[in-house]
Amino acid sequence: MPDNIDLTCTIPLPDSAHHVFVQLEETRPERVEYRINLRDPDNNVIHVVPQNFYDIPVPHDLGRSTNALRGYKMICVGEVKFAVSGPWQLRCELRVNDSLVSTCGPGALNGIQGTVKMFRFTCIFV
Amino acid sequence: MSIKNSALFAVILCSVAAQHLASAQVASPAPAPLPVPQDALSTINFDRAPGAVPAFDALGLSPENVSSPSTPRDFAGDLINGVDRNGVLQNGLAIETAPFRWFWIGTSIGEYRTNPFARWAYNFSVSVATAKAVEKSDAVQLAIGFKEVLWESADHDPYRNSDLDKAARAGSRPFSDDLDSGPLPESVSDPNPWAAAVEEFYKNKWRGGIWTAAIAPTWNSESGELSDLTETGFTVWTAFAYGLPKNWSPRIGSKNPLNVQFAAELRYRNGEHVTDPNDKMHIASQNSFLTAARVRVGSDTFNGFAEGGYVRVWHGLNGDDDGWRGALGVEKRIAPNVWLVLSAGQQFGGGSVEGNELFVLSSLRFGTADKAQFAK
Repeated sequence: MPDNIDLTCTIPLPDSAHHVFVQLEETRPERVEYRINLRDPDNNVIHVVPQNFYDIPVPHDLGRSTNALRGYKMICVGEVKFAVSGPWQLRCELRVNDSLVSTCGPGALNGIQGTVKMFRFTCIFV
Repeated sequence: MSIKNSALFAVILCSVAAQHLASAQVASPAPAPLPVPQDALSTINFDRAPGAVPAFDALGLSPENVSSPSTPRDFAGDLINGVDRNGVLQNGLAIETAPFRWFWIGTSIGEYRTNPFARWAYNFSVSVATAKAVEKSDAVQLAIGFKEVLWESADHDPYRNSDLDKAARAGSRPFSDDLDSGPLPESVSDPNPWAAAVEEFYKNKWRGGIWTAAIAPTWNSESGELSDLTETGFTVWTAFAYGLPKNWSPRIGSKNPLNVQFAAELRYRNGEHVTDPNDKMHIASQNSFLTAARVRVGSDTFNGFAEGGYVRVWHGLNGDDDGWRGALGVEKRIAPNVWLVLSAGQQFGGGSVEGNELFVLSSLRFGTADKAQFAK
């Protein structure tokens, strides 16, 4: 099993004027800290979600419609702090108008209590 | 008291206790068959944790290798492996699983923290176990257990403990924009303050409260075949433990906190097959009720407990009967790896304990001993 979760996904977005929301889901409770950036086609960084511990699942508005996000990358970087040992999975969900349009992951870790592991989801919007 | 004086005092105590035991043994009559209640009293487990697995507990097992399937497919595979191609139950099956964790249902930490139904679903567990019913026979016992955590305080729960929340935030480090590309760095910094906080949490796990309930029906197959299974009864129990919070704990001296924990258990066993050890033909299918409670105190240098239990048996080898047992003990560390231990107890019931003699035991333990006897 890998030491961290590092997944890159290509996300086809529907034709819509609705905003895109991102949320993380895990298979069992653990403390998760993360932040989310957007990178425009010129690789300029846009800070969308500040770094914090979130009681997931928390939907985060990327602030742009699906049509405006094509060509962007979304990068969610964070850490999980294991309080309980055991298998653990995390996935990244993309939602539009309250409907799930795509999922990145899940990525899996074999958690050991007291350890800290990193994760990163890179979603390329097309 | 100096170490030398403490050791001398302990040796004297040991001598007195040894004389007491020796005289008691001389005065005792020849051992008689244990009456049912006394036998049941000896099985009182004051340390039965709320985390005990019901199927294993119902069959009196402590399996070393327990399968914990995390998918329905794995669970089905484990069950199939528990029966051979001729339909014969395999001895030694031990499975424990939480079926609601198999699916993505309400298990993210936000739902777990805010929704008690999500916690109940998450903590519900099923266990399956088999064991030989009688040595040198084909008979196999089967138990299927169901357990639920009815209530758990936040400070006892690793997912809701506020000290762990603080430790997680205190150990936070910034995720720079450079992490948007390139390889991810190593996750764990050294020293790892989160690891220290988690270790501290489990060391103090007897703080806070937890209340569990479980039921485990049991079956028996004389031939060992699945098709011959007949129901033999069930075990149902509930256990409660509560430890005073850190801020409420009394202190020894200026800084050494004294942990205090209360634990209680109610248990009913229906249809238990018992055999007289002195007469294999003398068997009974008994029902029994047990209630037990314990208070325990502990610190780095002092531990103690007081406990009591009551057992009522119906349709046992000697008919209906009841009995109770009480005990208390204290231990004090008098030097590193040297503990002075004193315990006393008494058992009543069953009609054959003629004197209801008080037994007093004391001992001095050296050596291995960073493990105190009465500490959790």
